[in-house]
Amino acid sequence: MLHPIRSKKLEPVSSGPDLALMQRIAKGDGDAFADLVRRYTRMLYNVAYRYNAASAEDLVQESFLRAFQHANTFSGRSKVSSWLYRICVNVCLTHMGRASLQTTDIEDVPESELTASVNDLPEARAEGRETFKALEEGLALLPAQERMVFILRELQGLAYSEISDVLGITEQAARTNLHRAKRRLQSWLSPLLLS
Amino acid sequence: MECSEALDFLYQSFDAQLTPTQQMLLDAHRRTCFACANTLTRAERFQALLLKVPQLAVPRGLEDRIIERVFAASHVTTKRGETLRTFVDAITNWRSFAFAAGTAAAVLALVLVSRNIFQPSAMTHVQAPPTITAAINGTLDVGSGSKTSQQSGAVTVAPGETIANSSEQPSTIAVSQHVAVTISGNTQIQVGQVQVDPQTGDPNVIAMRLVHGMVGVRESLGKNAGAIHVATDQATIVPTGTIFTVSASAGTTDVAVGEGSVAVYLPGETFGVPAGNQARISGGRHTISKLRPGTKFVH
Repeated sequence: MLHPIRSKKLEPVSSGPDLALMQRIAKGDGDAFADLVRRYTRMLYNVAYRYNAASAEDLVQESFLRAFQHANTFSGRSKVSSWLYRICVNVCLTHMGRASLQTTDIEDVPESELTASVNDLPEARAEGRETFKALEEGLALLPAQERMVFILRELQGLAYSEISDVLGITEQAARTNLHRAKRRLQSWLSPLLLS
Repeated sequence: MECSEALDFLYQSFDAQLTPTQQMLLDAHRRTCFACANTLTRAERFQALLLKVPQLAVPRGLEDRIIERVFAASHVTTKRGETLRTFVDAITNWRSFAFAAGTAAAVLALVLVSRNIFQPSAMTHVQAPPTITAAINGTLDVGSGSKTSQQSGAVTVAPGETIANSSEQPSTIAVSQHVAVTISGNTQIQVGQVQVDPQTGDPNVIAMRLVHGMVGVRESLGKNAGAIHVATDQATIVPTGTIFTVSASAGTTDVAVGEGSVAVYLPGETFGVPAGNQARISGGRHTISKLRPGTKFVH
């Protein structure tokens, strides 16, 4: 059974207008920067929130601050969206390191605990809000790179080539990370997927 | 096919990466391996679930907050911005004004201060040359007390003197080659601290108290130009290469930005106002809104 990957990218980009936009921002054009923010905030917010919901706003703000400060380094060799994704990913990973968050690697979680409790989520079978909450909880337990690959591929709809560009890993590594993430999340959500 | 391969094959099938032969092998394994059949079914349900994960909406006002923070941060993180902010922070607390004047020696700053921030007694703490030479385009009433006279063209302005525009038409006073202040009709300002560079004679600091009315400021950045600071009792506004107006009335400061942008410093808070927007500061709070189409700037 084939499941075509649905693209969830919110802002299809074309290089010409985006390059011009970035050149204006590099010259300090506030209107151009405001345009960039309006076009891409939702895209980055979705990444940041899935990565760290509690700090999502700060992460997005920091991402745009860096984008503004380094607009003159945008060469046009990649899409603006990829460039922004890359900044956001770096901000997320840096934030994680700086904050020294007490995260738990899902590999360290005992097998007996590696499932979301159906009792805790009585209505989750309907794939309602609780199911998505359980997904987010499982996502938060993934290793950073697997989590980010999963977010970019499954929730943002990026191609493997773009994930490779954003994260600086090979496409094969991206696939491997994705498969591992899905195995773990599937295990985490197993009780909710039985019916 | 080994059981361990089945799930990987299924994941690849989600990406349409399986060859027809691999798909046949997967289907055959599924029919014969009950354990894998269940696992694969859950994997398919999981994949279907992912397709239903909604995209999150952006929290209300986040885009504005981003623009404000980035704009403000872009000023304070530059060397020049840090210098200016030091000055702004100090000048807001006028007891430290002497220190502020010292730190601002390299900065050309025009400070328009509304009610009660600059007291005459504070001015006596600062050693500064008493006058500046400016140029008036139009006609303004310049002087002190009863010794006020209409002036145009080159004029010498001393601390304590007032500059008023009692007509309906705005007039402009250029205080340096980079900074010009347009004084609207029925507006009065009082000259406070004046400090000039002893080497060049150019003004470094000009403090003015906006008594009432509205002024427009045009700042054009040049190699030797500094920034303009417009401080009121509610806020301090730091623009860069921009055109803006500021007006003060009891308890309220309005800032409208025509070109460029400005950073506004409140006690414990900083925000930016991009071109095409206006801010109202009152009671320690601020609101930002779009300028009405056709808004004209007095500069």
